[in-house]
Amino acid sequence: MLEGDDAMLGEIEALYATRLPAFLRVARAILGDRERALEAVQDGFADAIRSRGSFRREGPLEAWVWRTVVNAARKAARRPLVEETLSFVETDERPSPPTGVGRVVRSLPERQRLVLFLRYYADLDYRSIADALGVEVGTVSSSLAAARAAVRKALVEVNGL
Amino acid sequence: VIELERPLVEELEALAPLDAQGASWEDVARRAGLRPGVRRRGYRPAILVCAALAVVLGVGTAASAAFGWKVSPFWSWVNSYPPGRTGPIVTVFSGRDWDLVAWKSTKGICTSYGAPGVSGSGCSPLPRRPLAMDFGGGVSRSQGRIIGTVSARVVRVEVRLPGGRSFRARISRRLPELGTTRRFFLAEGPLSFVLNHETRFTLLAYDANGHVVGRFG
Repeated sequence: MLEGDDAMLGEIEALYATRLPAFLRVARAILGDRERALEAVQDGFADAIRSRGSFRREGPLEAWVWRTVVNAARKAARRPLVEETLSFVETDERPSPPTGVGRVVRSLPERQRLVLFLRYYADLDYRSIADALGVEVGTVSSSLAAARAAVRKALVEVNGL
Repeated sequence: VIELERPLVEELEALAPLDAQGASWEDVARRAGLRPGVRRRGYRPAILVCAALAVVLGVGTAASAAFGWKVSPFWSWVNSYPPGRTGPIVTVFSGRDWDLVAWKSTKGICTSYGAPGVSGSGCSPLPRRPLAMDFGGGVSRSQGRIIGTVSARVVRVEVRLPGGRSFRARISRRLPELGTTRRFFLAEGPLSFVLNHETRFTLLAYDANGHVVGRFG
């Protein structure tokens, strides 16, 4: 018979294996920097392992792990940097396109940007996003509505409508 | 009506490009203070999670046919086996010595993979994005198998390997029995990514107009 603690560890590990890209992208959305994002994800999962005994299964495990990772990234974002690197790094294969949509997403308040990532990239539902960010579902709804409106407006402008 | 989701996802991916180099479960375990040797799964949890399930179900543990699959609620599913099936069992893909079947359940769509010595299942709601890699694993030292799902507008999935090589994945028939318009895709080839973490691949999903609508990796 599987031990509960070991089973929980296996579940966290499976989450890491299957959802790592989404975690990395969201962390990078918070931190902008690839190395710091990776550190935050690794630290966030390590935090989840250490505190797994406190998970009460009152919601999905994934939302709970998202919260630890988002918290780790936010904590890292608060640390002072010798050199400011919070702009999005442009050195990868795919440079950020200078579209109106990209500019709008960049300029969104952090919560709205995070809600967009968690909803559209990580595929989390409103309840899980609320759990991950430690806010009310209504806040998720209003943040997402505001972000969508801003992006939709930018799309109209880009499309010349 | 302006389509919001696709351009938004593309922008999000461009804003935070993926680079997972340096990420490893061993590093996470070390940071968490886990004792070395307690869990030595490395970056192949899917394979070994599958093997663990095989032990639970008593169907053997042959490593040569190791396989993995995405199961977020994996252990909870094991503990509540069998999940509440609400539809017929559908064969999605099959080979000479393996099958992938799926069925609709109260816990989402369940998939079950069976091959000599290895068997495993998992249930979860299907994602909404154009392309989602569900699970993958090595079937030999040099060959791997990837299975995932794509949205209805995806007509082609391409696997790009290092060095510019690429090949096309198979896409399943429509599966109305599962109550979804999503279809499964299967890529089999020189995908030793699970056995050798250094190997990279990229999945690209195309719509009928030849536009890339989804990307993984």
